[in-house]
Amino acid sequence: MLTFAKEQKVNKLGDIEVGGQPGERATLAVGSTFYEGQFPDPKKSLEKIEGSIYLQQETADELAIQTLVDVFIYDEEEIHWKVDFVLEAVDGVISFDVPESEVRIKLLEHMEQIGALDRTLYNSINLGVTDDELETLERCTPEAAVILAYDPQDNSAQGRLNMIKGGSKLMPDGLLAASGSIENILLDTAVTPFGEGASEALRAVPVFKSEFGLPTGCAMHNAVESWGWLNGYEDKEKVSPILDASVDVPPIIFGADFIYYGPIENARQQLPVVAMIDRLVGEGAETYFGVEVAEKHPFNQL
Amino acid sequence: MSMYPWSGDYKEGDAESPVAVVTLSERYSFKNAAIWGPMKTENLGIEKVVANVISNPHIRFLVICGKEIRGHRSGKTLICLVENGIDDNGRIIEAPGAVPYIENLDKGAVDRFREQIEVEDMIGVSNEEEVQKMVNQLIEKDPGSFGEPYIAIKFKEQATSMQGSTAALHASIELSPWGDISSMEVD
Repeated sequence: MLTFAKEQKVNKLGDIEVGGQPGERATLAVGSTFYEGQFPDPKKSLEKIEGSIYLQQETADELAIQTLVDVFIYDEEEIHWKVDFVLEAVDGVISFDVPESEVRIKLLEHMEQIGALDRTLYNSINLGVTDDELETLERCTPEAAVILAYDPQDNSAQGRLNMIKGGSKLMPDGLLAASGSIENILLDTAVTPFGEGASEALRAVPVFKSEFGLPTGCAMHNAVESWGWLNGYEDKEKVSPILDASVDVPPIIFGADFIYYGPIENARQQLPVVAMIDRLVGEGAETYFGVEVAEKHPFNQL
Repeated sequence: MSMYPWSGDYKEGDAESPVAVVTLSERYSFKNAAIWGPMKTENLGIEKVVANVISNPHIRFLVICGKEIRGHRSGKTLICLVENGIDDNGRIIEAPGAVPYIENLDKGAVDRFREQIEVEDMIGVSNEEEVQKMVNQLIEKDPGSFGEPYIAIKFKEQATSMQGSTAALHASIELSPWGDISSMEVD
């Protein structure tokens, strides 16, 4: 429904193309696995996890959209076995979601040692980045990285933009400068809870695309997960998948190139929603703006 | 009406109890605590705990229990706040969490919190009965009310006015009638 005057960069992550004008390419939908609470003992559930990875891929193929797998790694001891498993189970680039800087450093060193940096989407470079981590990123440069635009001092779209561009009090040079020589950058608008700037994270999608011309997206399901009201709602279990899927609609309408949609187990319910909105946006892009929509896109396939 | 000014994922019990409980990733229920609930994040979550605890001067003990939030280390970060306070940038001193900042509370609120409560570190304890026992023991040690409630005002930046501007979504971008978006200079 929108188009940007600023030229939009397209990142190639293996077979996946992410970025460009809204509607040009199918949204990249990223499903998470090994997240906290998924299974009591993830090592004993690898078969189930593998099944959900294949199901996401099958669904994406059926819907003509693009997907990636996001792997949570919390501790250093998890690096080897999770990486071994996922490199076997998945073709192409993998998003590694690592909250702690020390663990991110160890992951980079491991991926460099096994020659798999070209399959690494580093998630993420954020305010918690350390000097050691920046030095490691220079030595062991991943194929791609997510920049998380969270600024605890200013949760407005402008504050998030400053965190990337420079100008935030907490990080004067900005996160884009910190990303160094990484070629493929994805900007995550850093969704915060309702009442704490969730709508500003949404607003930041077109603001970032207009300012930087880089692939931009977010994980709106985080706002749903942290919604206190929902915990008291009697039909929470029934309604949660509907809310998770529908909350991803507005960012795609606003031009998001990728979304982290939450647990990969929900692929069958959530990905058709992504495909439906892509179908709508693709139609608007072609008929109104004359955008050439990719062949592998719900607009051309569904 | 709740005596706790900041909304959050918590339950209220006996308002005159001297004990509040942060259950980190767990969902417990206590018979005689003042307020309890989970806490996920090392920034916004901690701010809510601070604001709500200092609004009730009867609370003198804060039990932190349950499984630590991996990645965020919110429990340990809360302990660091009590022990070390914050620096000039709002960063919790020596905190292990990824983004441990207090930004929506003034320093007075943080100082009051650190003076009002004593922390009981039960991080990693996931036995509800054991935590209940600790709550009971702390009630026996109640030193009495800290004094007047402290109502922490949340800092809110004034939104940029859009009146008279052609901006449709944000001050820095222009949306044309044809749906084109382009950047504008912002003063």
